[in-house]
Amino acid sequence: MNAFVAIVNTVAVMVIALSLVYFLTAMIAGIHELRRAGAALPVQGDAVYERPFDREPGSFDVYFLVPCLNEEAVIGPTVRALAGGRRSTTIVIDDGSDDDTALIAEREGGPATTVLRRTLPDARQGKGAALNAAFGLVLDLVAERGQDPERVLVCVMDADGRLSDGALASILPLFEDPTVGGSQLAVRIRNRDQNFLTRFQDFQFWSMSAVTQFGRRKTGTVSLGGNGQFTRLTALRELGTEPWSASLTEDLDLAISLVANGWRLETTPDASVDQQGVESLRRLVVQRRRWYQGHMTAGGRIGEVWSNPSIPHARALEVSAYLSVPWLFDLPWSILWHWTLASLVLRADSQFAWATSVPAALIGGFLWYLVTFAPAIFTTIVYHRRDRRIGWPTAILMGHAFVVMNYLSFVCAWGALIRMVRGRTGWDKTTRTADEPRPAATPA
Amino acid sequence: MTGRTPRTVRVLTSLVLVAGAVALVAGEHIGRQVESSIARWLLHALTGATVLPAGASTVPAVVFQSGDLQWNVLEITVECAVAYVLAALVMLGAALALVPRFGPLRVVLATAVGAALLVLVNQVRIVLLALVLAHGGVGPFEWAHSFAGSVVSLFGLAATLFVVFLIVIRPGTGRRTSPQAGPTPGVQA
Repeated sequence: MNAFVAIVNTVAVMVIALSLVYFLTAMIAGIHELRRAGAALPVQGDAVYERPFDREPGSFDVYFLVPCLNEEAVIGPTVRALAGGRRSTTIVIDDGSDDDTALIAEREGGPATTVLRRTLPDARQGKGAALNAAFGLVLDLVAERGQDPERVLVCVMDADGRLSDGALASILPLFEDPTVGGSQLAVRIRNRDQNFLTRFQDFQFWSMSAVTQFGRRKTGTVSLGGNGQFTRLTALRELGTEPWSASLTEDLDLAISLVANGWRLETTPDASVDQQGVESLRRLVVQRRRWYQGHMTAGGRIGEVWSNPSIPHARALEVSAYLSVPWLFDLPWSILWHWTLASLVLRADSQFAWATSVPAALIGGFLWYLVTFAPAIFTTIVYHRRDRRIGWPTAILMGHAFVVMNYLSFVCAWGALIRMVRGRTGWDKTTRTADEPRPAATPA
Repeated sequence: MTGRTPRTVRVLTSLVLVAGAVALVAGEHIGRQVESSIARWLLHALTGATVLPAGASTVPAVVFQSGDLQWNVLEITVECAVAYVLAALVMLGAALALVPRFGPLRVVLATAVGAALLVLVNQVRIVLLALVLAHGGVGPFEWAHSFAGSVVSLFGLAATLFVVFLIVIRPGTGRRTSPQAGPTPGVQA
């Protein structure tokens, strides 16, 4: 029995240590990359998302692809904002909507917007299929207009996605490096003040995800996220006429394909994209379960990256670590977390043996908290610094919410696993709602 | 892909490492005796404390005399020992040895360095615990054992894993066909 307990404890310690190494390495690398780029954590914290083409260098032709399925609530402002580029074209892919998505897109987008209408049975086959349909149109337009494919970028936007002011001026120069095949912008949640869930999503995206994504610049493995996602046309063409897969996370799949082909994936601290957060728990579970399923399925592609000898070890290892997260961390931790918790309670007398007096308990308790919650304290500080308008109480609440929100990961990871076992790969699209009128931007 | 280690060598290396991990678990009692012997020697060498030989205790332990001439017994239990964590590290090495892009020698080296670091960290922990017990008594020892010791172990393990991965991925071990290899912009499918 002792041996069994010791073995399980060892597995728990290994999982904690491995995740600590990955988390700390990515966060510290992210902060280092920010400094190297002459930026700091608060960069873009008070960004405004209205005029993405400010100071646009016009060095590339950009095709914005906006897949839509019943997006009449949000598509208008999105295409309006994308319509101001000197060398940009917006293609709205109406994937068989029942509402007025196409009509609104045409009306609000103006002459630089094309609506590609897909009808059943071709429509509603997933985001990848919709993007592939538009990719053919992009190739036709590039040829028709006599544009240099080397100087063409394809940007995937969500129907509710808005680029930050001057975004193009920061993104386009990244592609002057001929080894860069793609770039993903940090994501901000627009309706973060709506409720706890939207705030938590903003915390995840803007604090942890954004900073670790900056860190992944070091290995050129920034993950693509399907909104504010720029790719080089020639890199996409290498993947055939249908570069996007039917995966539930076609963006992650594309990132793996590009990395496997030797391309670097980048990001910039000086631009971001904002989008709606999911407002209800049920829809959040559905969305995250889909992400988990796509992520877990993509794990099977690690071999493609590892088998390319031209990819540096660090890049291959980072991609592998990222793809392994649900398998090595989330699923095991959903069990080990309860084991650790039970051990803490059942062996409280020895675990807290130092609490021999009130002062010792207070000091010891504080030190115990500092060590046990170190990652939470770290992300609390990062979130507060990423946007100075976020008060300490909110930052502290979000930083420590993982104790409860871990269960969202557990439920979604196991739900995804069950769906995989049962062979269910259906697409549960995230529903969006009309935005509230936007208040005037306030300085930090 | 020229110059890759033959699959047989990689599999054999991995099997040897797996066998090593199994041996570590199966012979963990011997491991604890070895650890207590090293700790006894270190404690004596560093502090001049009087320590008793292994036979003085029926379990793997460090038996030493503190300044007030009191005898102390620091038992090395399964959870205090490094054997299981070491076995986990060696299993990780076994998995890495199977990857064609990593040279088995480099993986074995990384695993050996990692193992040495883990043993070192645990020795530092044991010796520090002995010192705290000798100079501070039971109260401070409880602090050091249940709190500080765990922190040292966890962060020691994390640092060790970081070093292991660093050694494994260090440039120069790859089988790259060309340093210029990479994307070929403009190539059509």
